[in-house]
Amino acid sequence: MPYVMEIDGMAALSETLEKLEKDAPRVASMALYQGAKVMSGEVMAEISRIKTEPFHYAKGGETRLPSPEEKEILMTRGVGVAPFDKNGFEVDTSVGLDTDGYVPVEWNHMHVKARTNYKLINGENVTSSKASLLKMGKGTNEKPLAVIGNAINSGTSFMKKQPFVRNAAKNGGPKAMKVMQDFIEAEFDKTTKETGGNNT
Amino acid sequence: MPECWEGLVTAMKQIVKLPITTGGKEETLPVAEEQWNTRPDIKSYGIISFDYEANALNGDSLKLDRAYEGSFDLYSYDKTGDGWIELIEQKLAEFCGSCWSLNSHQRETETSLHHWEWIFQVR
Repeated sequence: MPYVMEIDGMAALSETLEKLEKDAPRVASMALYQGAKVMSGEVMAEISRIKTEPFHYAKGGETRLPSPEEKEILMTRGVGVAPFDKNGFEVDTSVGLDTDGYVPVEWNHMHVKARTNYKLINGENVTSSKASLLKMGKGTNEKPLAVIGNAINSGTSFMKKQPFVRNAAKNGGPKAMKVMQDFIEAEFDKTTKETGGNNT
Repeated sequence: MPECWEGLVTAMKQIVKLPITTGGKEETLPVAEEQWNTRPDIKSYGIISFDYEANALNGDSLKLDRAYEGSFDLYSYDKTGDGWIELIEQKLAEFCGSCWSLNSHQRETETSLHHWEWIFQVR
């Protein structure tokens, strides 16, 4: 004698699964954004912990710490979340410093020797220090924001490394994962309740 | 070879003592001292940083994520690293398996030095 098995709620389950599949990219994006927010907060917290000392040229092979002004640049320019790269169910982004920004800083390990390889629009050859003077004012120079961040993070031959991005990734990674997981689970619960399904 | 923190530390320290033949003469890789990096008088030098030790292993769970971390920096006026790159990566592979990566390679315009940074993490 054949056994007959009846399962209630298949229609609701089917509806729930369809909705979950439809919602997945949206939920993944929102969850990723929540995680990226946590990570950017961690990076900012690590930036605030960067040790500084008053600016001085690192002479005679000494290393120096970043100046308070250099740290302030990172603090005020902040950390951003890159535009999301979506590919079906996959969503990708990164958290970091603006790679396009240029900022005026006093920045060198030694006094720049005068060179005459800068050519102005009017054809005049000038020294690098004069070129800087024309552009930004005395004693200042323009450097990409990412270069400042990288110099502090990875160090240079004249600046001691303070790996704030790696520390942020270590400290913030598990927190971001937890936030994203909680968000996805909450969205999953919401969807199943809306469609009358049961996720237990 | 399983990832081994103590072995890795030893290997990293050995690197700077191992002689290497460059330009027909044997030399060792000098290590930068605290607050003293730039060496215009030498061609290459290294910096070892063991900058992270967290989550000491406990009896209940011996598997912890990224328990130890460090980096090895090579500075060289030679754009090929003067032969040190191969030696460093060979030691990293030997003692760290796949737990290391070359994080960055760049040239400092201010000093003309090339800078390689390897990161290793031992779980």
